[in-house]
Amino acid sequence: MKTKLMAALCLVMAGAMAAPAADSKAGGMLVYGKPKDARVLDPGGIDEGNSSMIATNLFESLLAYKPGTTEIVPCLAKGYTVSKDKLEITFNLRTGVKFHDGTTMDADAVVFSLKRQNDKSIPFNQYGPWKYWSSKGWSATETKPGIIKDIVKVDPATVKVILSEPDQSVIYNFALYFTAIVSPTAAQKLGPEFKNHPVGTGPFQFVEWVKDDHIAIKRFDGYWGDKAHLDGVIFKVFPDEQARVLALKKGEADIIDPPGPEGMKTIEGDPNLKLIQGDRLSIGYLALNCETGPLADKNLRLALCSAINRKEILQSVYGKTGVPEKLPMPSLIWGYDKSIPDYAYSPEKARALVKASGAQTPVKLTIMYLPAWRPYNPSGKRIAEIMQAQLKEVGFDAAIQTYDMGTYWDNVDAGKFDVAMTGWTGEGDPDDFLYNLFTEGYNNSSRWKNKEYVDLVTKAKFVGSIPERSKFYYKAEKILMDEAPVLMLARGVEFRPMNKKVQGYVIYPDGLVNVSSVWMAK
Amino acid sequence: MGRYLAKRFLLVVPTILGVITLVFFLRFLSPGDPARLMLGERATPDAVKVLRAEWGLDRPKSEQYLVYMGKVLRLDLGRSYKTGDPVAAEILTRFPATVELSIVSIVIASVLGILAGVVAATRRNTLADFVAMVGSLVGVSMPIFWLGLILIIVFAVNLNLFPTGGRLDGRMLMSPITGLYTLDGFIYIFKEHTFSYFVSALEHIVLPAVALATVPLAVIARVTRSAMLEIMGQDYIRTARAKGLPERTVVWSHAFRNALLPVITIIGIEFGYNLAGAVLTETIFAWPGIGNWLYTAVLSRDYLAVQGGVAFVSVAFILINLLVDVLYAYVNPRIRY
Repeated sequence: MKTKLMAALCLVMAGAMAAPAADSKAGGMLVYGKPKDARVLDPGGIDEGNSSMIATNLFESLLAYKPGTTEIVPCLAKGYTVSKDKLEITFNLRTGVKFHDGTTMDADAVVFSLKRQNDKSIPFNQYGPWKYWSSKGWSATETKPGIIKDIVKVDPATVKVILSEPDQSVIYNFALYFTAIVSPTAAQKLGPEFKNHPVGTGPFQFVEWVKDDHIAIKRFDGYWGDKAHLDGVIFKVFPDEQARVLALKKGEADIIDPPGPEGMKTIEGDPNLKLIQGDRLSIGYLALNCETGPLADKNLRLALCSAINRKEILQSVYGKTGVPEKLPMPSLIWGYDKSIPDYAYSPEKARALVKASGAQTPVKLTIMYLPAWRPYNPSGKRIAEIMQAQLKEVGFDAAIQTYDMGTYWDNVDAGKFDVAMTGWTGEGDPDDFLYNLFTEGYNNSSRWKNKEYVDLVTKAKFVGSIPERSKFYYKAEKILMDEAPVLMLARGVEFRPMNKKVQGYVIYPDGLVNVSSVWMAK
Repeated sequence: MGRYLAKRFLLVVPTILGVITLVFFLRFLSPGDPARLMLGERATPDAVKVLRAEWGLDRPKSEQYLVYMGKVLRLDLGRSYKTGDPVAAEILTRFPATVELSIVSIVIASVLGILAGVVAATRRNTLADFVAMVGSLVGVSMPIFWLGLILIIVFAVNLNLFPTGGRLDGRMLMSPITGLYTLDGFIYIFKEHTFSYFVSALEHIVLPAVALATVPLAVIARVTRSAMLEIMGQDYIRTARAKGLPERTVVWSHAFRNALLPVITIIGIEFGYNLAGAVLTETIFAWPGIGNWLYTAVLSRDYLAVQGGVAFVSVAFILINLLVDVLYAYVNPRIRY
């Protein structure tokens, strides 16, 4: 009898141990408070954070960033190979992956997702604009062919990207959201409405979008990877920053976009809230007009670089939200030459350079400051006021001015400034900073033209390995510092204020909001 | 009355076309290129050129105007540069939120404003009059932005009586029926046997409606007081009192009814202002209405959205004025059109 009872007990205990433990992290609805509504949810048409934060959770690309880093890892592609001539990139796709509508992700879906953004023979192409293909030089222009020559299906699980030139900086773009894979079935069925009813392969699927109010997504239980813990997420719009902070304090939002310095103080003082911190690929800098005005003179640019006490600006304006950088790219990514000396703060040197320039003192110039908070610039006005005082000491007479954002960027594009505050939130490849910001196009705000520099950063695209590419970048960076077309202010630090119940949130350096790993403590 | 209404409706069309024409050409005075703004930080000159051509922005101004007006006459307000969605659809999506907030706030403002005005007029030069008038002066002077934040801090955060913003609890998903959430919530009581949507919608509208009501309340109070004071001095009011009528009857059935005309006018005007977009209130309280949408459209140079939005608001304003005219005839039978 006793033996039978013991045996029965053992069976019960064995059964209990074999049963899977309930997921203690599962469940919960997270509310994320953001300042603006999304614009579109089709990843190919997105170019701003309020849309990408949703799309990141609904869609995936062939590659991805390893959480919290700039390292590229496989995602919808298990891996890729590059041909010897570096003109073909072959992606081997993961099999068995489903879209939210139940259809299968395969080579046809990949080809459609990418080619619809460029190929006018595909009817869906008319629902653009597809900004990235043109900004990246992937599509042909009147004067030159596109970098992407073709995208072909090799077999149902293999896709080949054929390049017109061996530009290796193309590869990291397949981790970005604009190359995310969409459901061709849904896209072709919905046409222009697809951007309001997205269908991807991500750990969450779309539920509803009430314009200017909220976007709701829910866990996708057919996800191929680790299922999300949360039942769903509601991205709610709180346009006013102070109201957003108050919503967080009250528990109406669980996470919010980071506020300015005053809002941060409110959050830091609240025992129910926490601030988590991470790296950000955002840089704030001063574009110095190298084409017209007093700063077309290199001596005056170098004088300005020596006259500005950036430590004071960092301490009194950025606080915790910025860290110093000397080069106009984050030191987080490869290709950053840490050995290059920075401009030292030296009013004496600045005065000497002003004198050497032969310019009549005081040298009049205007500083255009950003009218609104940016991730790389918390308060343009305060920075401008500090700079104005510092420049006065060395022989400059700086007037400060600003405009509404639209006019501001128009003036930057047209070169209607001497010094303009600007910045860049880039991607995990030095090309996106060093080539993008200092060669042709709108992003070369300083209008700096240096053939040797352009040659170096162009060649860096085509050599194969990171160490080889880095060598070109190091040479280019030295020219950059010698010529001083820009003066770095800071690299932005990413903060996320949240309720202490929120766990598992990872900050991505590119600023994307990914909630797939988040869970709510009970 | 019918002929009068028909004449007024006929005037609506040229008025609206005039407003649209004015707004259309005003945009050429403002700096900023919508194509450049739309393409954002990664724009290239080639891409901007292509987009401007797609949107017809590279055509002569007169050609752009004729093309646009041709579409407007076919009731096509174009597509938003920012989202690519039809402007008409964008407006109609947001209009119910603005209507709901405007109605609730104007009801609050009207009831309290009229009461305050009548009390002030009937108790002239007393403490009640002083309080009512100083209160209304403060109401008119108070910046809504500041008031809104104070209401949130005091009533939402400190006292925890109301939510901080939005139209419904952040974790609630209700499929709208009319778009007026209080009404929809009421319908859901019968449809799904739940009070939660109705209660949540009511809770959420209180603070923004109160904030939005402060200025109209003050204006209505002052106009009511003025009108009542003028009427209360009339001979027939003296006669009514001499006949022994209760004071309440004298004030409300005789004096107030005759003072209504200017009060109705001002209520109509204030309602029209609210409908035109309570930008600050909508921003502070995260209320997804027309005001905030129009403001964003202006900043992003979304010209078609601005033009369509202004046209729509103009129509609303004109229709409200028409309604006021109709109410005049009802309130004062001597008025004939």
